[in-house]
Amino acid sequence: MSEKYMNLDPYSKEYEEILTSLGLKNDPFPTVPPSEVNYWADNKTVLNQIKEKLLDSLLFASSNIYIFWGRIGVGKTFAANYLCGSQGINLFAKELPDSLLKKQFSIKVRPSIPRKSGELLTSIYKGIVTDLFNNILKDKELYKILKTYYKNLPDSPIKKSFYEISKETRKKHLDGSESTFIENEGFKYITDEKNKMGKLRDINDMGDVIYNLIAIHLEKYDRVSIIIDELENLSRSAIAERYQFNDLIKYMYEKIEIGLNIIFIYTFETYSEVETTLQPAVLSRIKDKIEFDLVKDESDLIEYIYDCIQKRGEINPYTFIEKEVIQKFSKKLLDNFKQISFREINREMHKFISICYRIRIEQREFDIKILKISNDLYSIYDKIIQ
Amino acid sequence: MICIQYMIKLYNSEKTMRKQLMIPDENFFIILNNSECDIKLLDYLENDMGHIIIPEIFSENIKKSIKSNISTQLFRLWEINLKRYCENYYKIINEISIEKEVSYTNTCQSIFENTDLIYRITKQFSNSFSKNDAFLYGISYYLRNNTDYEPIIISDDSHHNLYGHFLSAYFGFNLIQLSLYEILKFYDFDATIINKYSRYKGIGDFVKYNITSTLKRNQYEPEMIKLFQSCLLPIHPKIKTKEDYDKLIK
Repeated sequence: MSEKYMNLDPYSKEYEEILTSLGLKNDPFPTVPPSEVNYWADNKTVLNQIKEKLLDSLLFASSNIYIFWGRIGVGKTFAANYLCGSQGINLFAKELPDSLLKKQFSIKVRPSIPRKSGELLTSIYKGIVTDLFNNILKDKELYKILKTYYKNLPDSPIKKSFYEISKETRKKHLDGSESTFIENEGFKYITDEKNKMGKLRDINDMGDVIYNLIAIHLEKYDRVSIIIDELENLSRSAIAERYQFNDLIKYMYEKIEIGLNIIFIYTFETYSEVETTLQPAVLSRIKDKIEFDLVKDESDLIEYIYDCIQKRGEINPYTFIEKEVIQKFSKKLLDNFKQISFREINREMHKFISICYRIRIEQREFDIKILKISNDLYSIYDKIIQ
Repeated sequence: MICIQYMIKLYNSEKTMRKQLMIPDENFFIILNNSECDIKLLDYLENDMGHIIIPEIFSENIKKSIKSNISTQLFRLWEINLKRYCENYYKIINEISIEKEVSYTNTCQSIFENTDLIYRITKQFSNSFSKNDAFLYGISYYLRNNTDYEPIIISDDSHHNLYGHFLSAYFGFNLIQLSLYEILKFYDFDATIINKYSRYKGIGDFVKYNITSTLKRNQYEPEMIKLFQSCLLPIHPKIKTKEDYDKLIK
């Protein structure tokens, strides 16, 4: 393939120009999962599995632990973002009676890549606490509950920290931002930062802080979901840190008997690798595991391309690319890859769109109104890449 | 370095026959912590060369020594590791007691007897050799005599590495003696070990390892050369008997 037809950098201005000129509002094939997802384009089988498993959490109040696992780029993070988004809450809206639908709140924690032992667990803990706390600050109803919640707690540094937090008033600043309580001693205590009140002694203290924050949420919501992404990092962490993580999860699960969903996301090729990171005490408490598989069926691939253009690009796919072209392209991809991840499909689509765009430019036939990746254009593309 | 490679090979090839065990002294953990080395090193060590065991008294001393130097989050990890190593120790003592059909106290008593005996010998060589130091060799010697375990002592103390090593070479207290320096070097861990060593009086340890050094050279050079000539790797397949001790003490 000549160099001029090399694929474009998806972050370059030229690529943005292509998207605009093609009438696409967003990049339909993002190479990194978008942070806010309001559509499901990935594997429908997986979506049905998720629905099936999560239905339990609607019918029964007890807390659950789920595991999402699969190879790189198969849509695990995308699914997590979808479940955390507004659509996730209404996942069952059309299918279930209103009486069964419950108010849900989800947070997604993505731990930072640990440089030293101990950092992974700290980043997971801080992520959970900060997200839950920030939601309380954003929500007037929850904030009101927080103000009185500490009174029922037994005497402990945690009670003191909640008291410190409740003393502070939520302020709205001139620039529109609201108080984050970062400097509050109570907040520093619960996020395990250096403070005047002391230190969280052990995992049980950490579990207690999370328990109390979730308890405040459960006064308003029926279910709180905590999604922890990139947990494969646990396999690289010290054994002691893995023990701690397992102890924290076990403690949280036992203490919060109802209303909690914990979802772990692992990028591993086999489930046995997941098992190496978890202790039997946690493994035995896992309710269900969902495998995210590669795309093997042509119909799935066609449906994925169609959905992406329609839902993310926000245009009718057939005004942009001919139906037959999608079919041919999908067939070609599966012939080459046999099975393919969503990330690879996105990358291949980037390459495909870029090359088609350049061919059109070269032919000087570029006109937004009539531009379409037609059968003819595909034939030229096919010749070039061969 | 060759020693460690050899030990790993031995451990992997004969896992089913004699099992290796690591018995580090208190200073090993304290220096490891001071060297700002990631505690993952201990996991690697356990994975490659066998379980780490320490008696509870060591664990408490280590905790006291390191607590002020590290962050709470790291200290929590240290606590878990130390607890695990103590559990390993008691598990082994329990195993032996069940196998030999004696009480737990009886097994501990036998280890203390060994320790006393070893302490009587080592005291003649160095006054800095404490009973706690001798305890390591007591455990190690007992395990070698009564179980399938092959203990490896890890220490950076000069008296351990000099006198302990000599006596081990003669009596077969332990399979081999390693220092933190060798382990760090083997795993290529980034640790500012030399600078941290300067905090301790034991900076002389490095000098003592060097055979060309003039420091107390006449005291140990002939023995050292003999040791190196007899076997390049200080592995002690034959375990000496109690009578040998008595001869030496006499």
